[in-house]
Amino acid sequence: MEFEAKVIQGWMNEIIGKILITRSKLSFLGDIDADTGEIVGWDIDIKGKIIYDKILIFPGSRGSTVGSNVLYGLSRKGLAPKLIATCRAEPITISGAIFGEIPMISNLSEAIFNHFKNDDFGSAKIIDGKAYIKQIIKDK
Amino acid sequence: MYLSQSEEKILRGDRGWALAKAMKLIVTLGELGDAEKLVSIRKAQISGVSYKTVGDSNLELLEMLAKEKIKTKINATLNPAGMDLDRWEEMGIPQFFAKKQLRICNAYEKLGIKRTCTCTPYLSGNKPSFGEMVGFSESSAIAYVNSVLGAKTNRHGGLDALSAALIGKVPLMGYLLHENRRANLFVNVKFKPKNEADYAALGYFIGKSTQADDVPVFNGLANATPDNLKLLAAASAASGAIALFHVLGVTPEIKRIEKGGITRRLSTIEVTSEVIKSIYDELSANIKPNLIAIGCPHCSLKEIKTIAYMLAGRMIREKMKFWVFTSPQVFSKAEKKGYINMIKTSGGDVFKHTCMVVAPIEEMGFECVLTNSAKASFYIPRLTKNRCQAGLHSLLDCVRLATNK
Repeated sequence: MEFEAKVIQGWMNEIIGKILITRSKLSFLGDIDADTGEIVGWDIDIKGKIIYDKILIFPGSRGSTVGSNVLYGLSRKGLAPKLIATCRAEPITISGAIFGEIPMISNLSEAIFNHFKNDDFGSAKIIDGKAYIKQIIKDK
Repeated sequence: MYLSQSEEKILRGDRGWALAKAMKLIVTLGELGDAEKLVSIRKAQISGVSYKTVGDSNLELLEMLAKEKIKTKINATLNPAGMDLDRWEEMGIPQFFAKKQLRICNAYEKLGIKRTCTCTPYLSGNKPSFGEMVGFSESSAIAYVNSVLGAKTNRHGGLDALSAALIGKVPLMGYLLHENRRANLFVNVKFKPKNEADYAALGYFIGKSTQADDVPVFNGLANATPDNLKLLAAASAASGAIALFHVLGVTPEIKRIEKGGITRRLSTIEVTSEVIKSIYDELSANIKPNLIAIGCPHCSLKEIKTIAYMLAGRMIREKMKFWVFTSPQVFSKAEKKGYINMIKTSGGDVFKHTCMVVAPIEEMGFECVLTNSAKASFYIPRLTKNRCQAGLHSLLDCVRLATNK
């Protein structure tokens, strides 16, 4: 299943990575350990997972406006996700992704939560200014 | 999006890479938000100040920007730092932390941003007026100035609020436009809030139950004070992303909204006392507290007065700290009125510039904090990597638990 999205922070070539997906809203300050990239928010279903190197898919942000600074910091420490993919793009996440040069897409359909699973592998490409994301290997 | 000639020039880099980068971010946000143009602002609030929350990479970024000799021309104020900038030693802040924190504040100051260090700029010399468009970060202040003051801001991140302050402009989009300020969610409050912490619990529940662009309208809160709504706003912008809400009979935009049809599409949530109890259960601690912390968001003068009189004639227990947090401006006023002395006489203390959420309390021997702030209860365990618990209680309960009487 392939989903179309809007490019927020672009990239070259194809991004391939493990999928980390949650229906929870995320606050980059507090829900994520800024030193390890681990999800620590107690009400998030992917608590304990690491965002580093993943294709991180979530509906939108909540909480602190310092999220932008935390995202920038994660990128500088080499702990950023390979791709941030959201349904709604808000200034907090967008500015962190742009300053941190982290690939980001948005305006994904919520239907993605019914099709993509954690630990599937995903691929994301930009074709003619639009982003396309799909699973390439399903986890067994 | 339309850009003026001078905006185009900044974007091109005619005034240096730093302003170009700031302009690029603001223009990108505008394009993504379908803004037709940029608008000038006279006020901004910048988050991303505490060394605990932003770390070395942001410190380096700020020092790099500060070298560029650019200064904001608008009234721009800073969020709380990780310590009282004058009395950090008395707080027990480690020295390495203090050094880094002062470097962050100095870098911001070089960029022209005032080191007032508060999350309540609207009580501290940076108060937007009704209808005024501003560029605010600090989630609690955004929700407060939009809702309680009727000013207009989007939910800016720390980095885009800084960029907006440097170029003096924000994109005309989102909550700056009237059509996005109408309510779409009717919140029928079926319980009577007994104290300020009930408002915080209510805000926490609403944050959890809503989507990012939801605008709730509350029914049943006609007695809410601005301080009550400050706690509600902060909580709803922590567990969720509420940037604007209305309260029937209380908030300033409600009449205009009623006239133009109150809603976009109306759905209803009912909030009962059982729901509020479940929030207290979620935000509870199970070990003995050694810090009572009041002032998330920073206390108003009225709140400090209440605390001073509640503590009068009582003594804080041994091995327990009772700390109050506020802005430097409110601190000075409270000092003149004698409230600070009253609190100190009872064994408590009042710090400015900082709070229990952004100070490194886990490095200072605190294991469990009680507070009347649902926002602080949400963040403390998260930001201390669970080394410190937090529990939500009313101010009166906090005072009773902390004192001998």
